[in-house]
Amino acid sequence: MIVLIGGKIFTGEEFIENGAIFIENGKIVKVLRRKRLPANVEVIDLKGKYILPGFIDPHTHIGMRDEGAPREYSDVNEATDPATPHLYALDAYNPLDPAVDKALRSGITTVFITPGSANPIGGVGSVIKLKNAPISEIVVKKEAGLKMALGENPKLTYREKKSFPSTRMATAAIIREWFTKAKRYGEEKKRKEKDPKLENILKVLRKEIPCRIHCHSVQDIETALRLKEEFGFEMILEHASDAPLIVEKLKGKVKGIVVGPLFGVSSKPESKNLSFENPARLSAHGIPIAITSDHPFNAIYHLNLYAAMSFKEGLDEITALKAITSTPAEFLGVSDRVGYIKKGYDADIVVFSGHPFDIMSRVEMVFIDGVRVV
Amino acid sequence: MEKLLIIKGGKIFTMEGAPLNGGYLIIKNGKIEDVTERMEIPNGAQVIDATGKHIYPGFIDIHTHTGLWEEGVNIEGSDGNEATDPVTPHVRAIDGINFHDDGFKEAVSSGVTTVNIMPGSANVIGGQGVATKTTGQILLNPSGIKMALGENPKRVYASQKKMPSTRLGNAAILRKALLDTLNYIEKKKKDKKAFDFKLEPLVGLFEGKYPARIHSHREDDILTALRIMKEFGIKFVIEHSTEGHFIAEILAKEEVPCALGPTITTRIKQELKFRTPETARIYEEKGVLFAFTTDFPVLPHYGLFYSAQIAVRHGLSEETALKALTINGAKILGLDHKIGSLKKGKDADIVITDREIFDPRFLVMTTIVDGKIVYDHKTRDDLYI
Repeated sequence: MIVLIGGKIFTGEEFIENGAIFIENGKIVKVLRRKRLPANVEVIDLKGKYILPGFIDPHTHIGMRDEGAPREYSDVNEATDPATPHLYALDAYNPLDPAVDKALRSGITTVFITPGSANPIGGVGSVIKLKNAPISEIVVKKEAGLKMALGENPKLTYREKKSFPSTRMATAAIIREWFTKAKRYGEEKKRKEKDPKLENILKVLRKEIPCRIHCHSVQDIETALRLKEEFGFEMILEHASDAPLIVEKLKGKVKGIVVGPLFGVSSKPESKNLSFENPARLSAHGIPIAITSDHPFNAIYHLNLYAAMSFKEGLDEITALKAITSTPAEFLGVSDRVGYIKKGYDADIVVFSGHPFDIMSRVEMVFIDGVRVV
Repeated sequence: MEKLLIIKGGKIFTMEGAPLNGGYLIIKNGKIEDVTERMEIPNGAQVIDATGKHIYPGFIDIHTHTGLWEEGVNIEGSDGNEATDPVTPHVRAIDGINFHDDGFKEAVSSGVTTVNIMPGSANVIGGQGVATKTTGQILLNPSGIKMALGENPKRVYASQKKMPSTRLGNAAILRKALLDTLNYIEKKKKDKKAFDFKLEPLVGLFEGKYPARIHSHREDDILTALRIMKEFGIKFVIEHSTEGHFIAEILAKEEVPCALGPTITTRIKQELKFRTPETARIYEEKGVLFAFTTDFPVLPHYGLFYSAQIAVRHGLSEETALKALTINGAKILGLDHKIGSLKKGKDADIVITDREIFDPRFLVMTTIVDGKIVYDHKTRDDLYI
């Protein structure tokens, strides 16, 4: 058994000072507010340090477009067919992407890897841990969301090929067409042959997995709301740059919003309202938010600083910390295992030399499943 | 209970008979409660003094692309034409509209309170339109199926070396899609599982749920529309109807309504050659039901009034011109029970101007939609017109 003692512990909900975390067989077996140490344990004294759940980035393409590799090695977008619900991001994941190790050294222990936004229906994303182990052992949840996309990306991708969809109208029509097909497919009593595309959409219609809808502008967010209304799925919005403009309409309609990548200039018309103020504006209206790097579009290594910038622009400190720990765990449906420092949870822990929002703080230790990896 | 809003004084153009001089317009819960010549103003009512002003029903533009081609944005904000397939009845304008586009603010500050937004004219069958208040409340979806004849589809697909590249091709494609739909309707009667996502919206045309709205400029294209729609027994509206004055008697006899406009552009294509400011007058003389349109963003929303003013200059009566900006549009959209005139029970969509709208110097002072002041010239944030 290892016991981490001292320091400020962020549990995923609140701070505890001078507590103790007991780790055994890869799990957190006990979290105490005061130190009461049994004999024969390995004690790591972290006085003065910040101890947090390993960070979770809820929207990345890490391992799918390797850092430093030429563009043609990218496996993010299967931009040859606008409806590819049968694809799995996991099939493209390369654990040897140099970004994986760097992310781990920055305190990121769990990520959602997802297909990109070229297709209106892109494919299924998975939750994985960034540890060095066979892929079968790093998967936390194989099917954690069906990636879909509205707005500029699909229309510009297919317009270039002079094929459908080249407008927002057609992007919605493709989603509607496939979801209608899947609904009818699901209503058939006997299905002779399994259709891999429709099977995956059916999982969404049965609310086994949520939709993760890439959108930026107001009209795309409204289209997502209309589609949700028509088909009754669970929905998380990705990016959603304009969401603060129609925040009232989103209440109770979205499971949450994954905000980001926020660092840098907006690269296209639909993301012109991108701002570090967005998380605060949404959160102020009770919309759950998580913060993402969208790696490699922003570097995943500075996830804590994206949260820090959002904190600086008005997001409450605890909400900002939750936005890279427990909230993404909730969005991804893995909040029974990761995202918190709590009894029974995986011992995924990051130790910072100071407050994680302080640019001078460094990651000093990282544990995954109770094993120190950094 | 919401308190009363009362507009007092001014000349009230109710579009339900002669205008009222210095009456009272009473608004409650977003609806028109009454229009009356005399009343005691109750305590607590909000009063707008419109003495010396002109009061109209909110103006209606039945053919626009507002928010579908975003202002100041190029290809990324261009969602009007799904020009990859000549038959796309399954796409919906509503999925491409940005209600936060400046075009809507301009519409509201111009006094345009309802627009019918449709896909463009690249495709023979373009998709589904939507009628909406310019403040975002949807009135009808779909409001009809947009279709197009003439130069636009043939130009688009000739450049892709695909059918249709001629007017013959346009008509053949339209006819085939409608025949396919008839076959599909038959198939559905026998086979409950039959389903065609693309044809399904066209079934509504045969059921009379909404009309076809057919872009056509030239006389021959209008007649093609008439011929095919009669063949299939489908209700329809002619959009633009540039050469409609040549066949106004036929349009009147067949009771084909027309969206007229944009009437004050340059002649940017051959099929606009015989455009004339007299079409509206001829429609009035022959009894064609018509409404002015801007085809926004082809004309700005306030272009609606210049179109009407010029038609009046060329002999259209002011009365008919006013109808063609209000109640006629409501009738053509099938929304005249809700909008288009100032009558008890209708939506309180009201525009107050400082002069009559046929005076080009007029300014919109106040725009009210569903009983709420949505534009006030004095406290406006930005000047859009």
